[in-house]
Amino acid sequence: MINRISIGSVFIAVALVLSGVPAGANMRSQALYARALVPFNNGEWDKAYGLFNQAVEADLSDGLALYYRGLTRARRGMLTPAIQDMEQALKLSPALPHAALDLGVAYFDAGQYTTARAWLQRAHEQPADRFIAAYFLGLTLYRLGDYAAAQAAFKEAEPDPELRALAHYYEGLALLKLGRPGVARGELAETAREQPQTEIGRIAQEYTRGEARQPPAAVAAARKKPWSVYAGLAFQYDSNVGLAPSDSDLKTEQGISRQSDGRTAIEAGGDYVLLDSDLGSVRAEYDFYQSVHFQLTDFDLQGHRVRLDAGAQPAPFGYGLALTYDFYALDYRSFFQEGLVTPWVAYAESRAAVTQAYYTFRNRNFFREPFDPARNGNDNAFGLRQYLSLGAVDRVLSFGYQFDSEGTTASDFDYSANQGDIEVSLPVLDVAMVELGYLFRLEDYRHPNSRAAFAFRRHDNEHQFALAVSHNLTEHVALTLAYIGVFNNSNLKAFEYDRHIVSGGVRVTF
Amino acid sequence: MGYGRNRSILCSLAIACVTAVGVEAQETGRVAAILGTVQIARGGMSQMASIGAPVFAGDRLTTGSTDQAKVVFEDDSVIDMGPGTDLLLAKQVSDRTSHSLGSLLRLSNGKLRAWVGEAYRGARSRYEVETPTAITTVRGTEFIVAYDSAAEVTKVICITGELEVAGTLGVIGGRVQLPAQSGTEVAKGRFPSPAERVGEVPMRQYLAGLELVGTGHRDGLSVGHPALSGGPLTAQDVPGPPAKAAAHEGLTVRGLQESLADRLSPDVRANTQPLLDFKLTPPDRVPTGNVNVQF
Repeated sequence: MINRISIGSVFIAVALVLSGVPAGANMRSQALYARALVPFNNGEWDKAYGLFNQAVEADLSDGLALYYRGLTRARRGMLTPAIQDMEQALKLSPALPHAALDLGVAYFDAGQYTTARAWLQRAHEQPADRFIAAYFLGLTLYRLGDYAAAQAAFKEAEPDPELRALAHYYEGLALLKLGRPGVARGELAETAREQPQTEIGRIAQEYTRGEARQPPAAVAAARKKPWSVYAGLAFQYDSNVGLAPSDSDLKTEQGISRQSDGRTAIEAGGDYVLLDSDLGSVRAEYDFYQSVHFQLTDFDLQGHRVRLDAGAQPAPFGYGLALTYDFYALDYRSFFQEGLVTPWVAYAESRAAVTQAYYTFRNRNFFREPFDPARNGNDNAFGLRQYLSLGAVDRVLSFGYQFDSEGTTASDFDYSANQGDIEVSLPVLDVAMVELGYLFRLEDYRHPNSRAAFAFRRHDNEHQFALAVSHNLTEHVALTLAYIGVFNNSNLKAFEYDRHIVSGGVRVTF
Repeated sequence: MGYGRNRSILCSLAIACVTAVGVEAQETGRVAAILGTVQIARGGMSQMASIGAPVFAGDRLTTGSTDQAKVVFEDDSVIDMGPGTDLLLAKQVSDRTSHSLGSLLRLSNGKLRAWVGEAYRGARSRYEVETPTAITTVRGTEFIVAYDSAAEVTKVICITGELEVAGTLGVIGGRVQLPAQSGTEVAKGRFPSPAERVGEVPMRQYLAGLELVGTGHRDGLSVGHPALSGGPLTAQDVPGPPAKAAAHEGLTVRGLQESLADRLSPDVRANTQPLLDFKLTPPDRVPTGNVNVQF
């Protein structure tokens, strides 16, 4: 009998949707929550926050009060605790309506676009929020630089009459970014026609009349700051500082009693954009590096690098020239210097794929015997590299092939090498930026090696693994972690070694 | 009139006598949320309520067939009105000095969910919901009362705490105590049916139409968001001339080609051959010195 009550039967579907809303919240919490709704509705955020906060304190399991405290915190600009409240509320009440949309908007406002995208995609699956979620998803994708996906999302929002003009406007902007000004003009004309009295309507009118508006100069200048400087401090463990051979007999023979050590690594540098025009840009860069070992101080390395990068990024054709000068000191005495010249060309097959071809000439000179002149010489390298965007500007996969030939004064070090490598960089959960790389390299030495009594030639193959993680503590300060593994195999035991470097530090950038 | 009803009226009158003056004019609560429209009838006039609107003893609140409302009272009790509900706030009295409270709601049709706080646990306090067929008396609990005026049947569900349900027969007896998660039904001219446990699925059915989230309007962060204001969200969101490189923004290629390991560590970049090997003199060179490398 009771199960068949007629009054509520009409609303069963609604009840099932809302079944995650708590059914037995604390009485005091209920009263405070209900009282808070009045100032919340009036936009009296401080008063509403006080009451919602009391409601949460009265019943920590009251998902609705917690959720509305989160909404109120967001309205007061407290985005981080607001997001925490809403996410916690969603755990308590998984069926809270519009929660995915609100979290998406909160993360968008917080500038955490990757997470915002995930929430807005969830919200987009909810019929009630489909259009508004599509619009905010479009804005998020636009901020992520994924203009094609942004354009599609704006298109989906356009059936909503309240969003139509806005969605046309931003779709127009996305199309301009995609290099389709003709279609963009049509979208902007829609905005101008639908909302001529709004600011976007006036901007769209100006554009369609051919009066393209430029971003305010001050904002543009702030975005394109021409310089940056950095400094970093890291502590590292290096399992094989001097690249000692893996073979224990050889180590004994060579008197190596210690090959691993810790060190402090100090780095600093900066860059300056000398020229930035439609034709391309020119940027100068300087990097300083000093490692200070705890025990094996003979291997303290100091590096100075000066670079000049000139070029135009592909649109669709690109070109450039990189000039590099390196100077290294080992044990605080001159070690070697080198100059590198790298001209390159690139072609963009699509918005998300670029192929680059390059040639690098390197001349290296050591300052001390017997490094000098044994390894002095030139290296010529040719390579191809493919870059793929993984849906956003901060997600890139690249892989490449390179052939190089080195000619040195001593015949032991003349070789030809083939190498392939793959790298990926992407953000992880909006918490850290991760770079992962792998390289395989084959070195075929041209002459019989002295370490083999000139009986045969040396052949090496090397595997390199690298992982770098950086987590921004603030806008300017980041924690850095890195691992590098090098496994060099050789048909001559003297050249066979493994090396593992683990690094943790902090980097400050302005 | 049955015993329960008489007792209810007597009690209410007693409390009313304590507070005597000015009861009718005193605000007893406010409308906290509305989904759709709610009418408040007062002194022969009916008007549409808005969120924050005060309610007084004697007010009659009605919701449309698809509408809902939430009212919070000065005594900290809260009611959610379901669709098609007709509710009279018959009595709302309080005497702070003697810690006595009295509340009588008359439900003519529809259903309500009520949260009644600790204030009503006192011996001198009473919270009652009356329908034409039943009187529900509570002291601090959460419950649902639904009255189907066509079928003349009242259904009472206790969600938390406990409550007492009596019929309006005018005959002593037939009272039912409802523990949490149980319900009873009172048809016209009948005693309440025995308490029966209410499972999860039927409980959801009873709650249907009573789950009013927030103010009943769109409360989310998209409401009033700058992105919907009709202006560009940032100063950069304006259609400048198409940039040559814009089509491939983000996919920048490197000039200097180095592996990730080389970029991460100058120690890896600079030392590519075992250093000890250079203790040996290259075969085509006359020995000229030594390398000072010590482990």
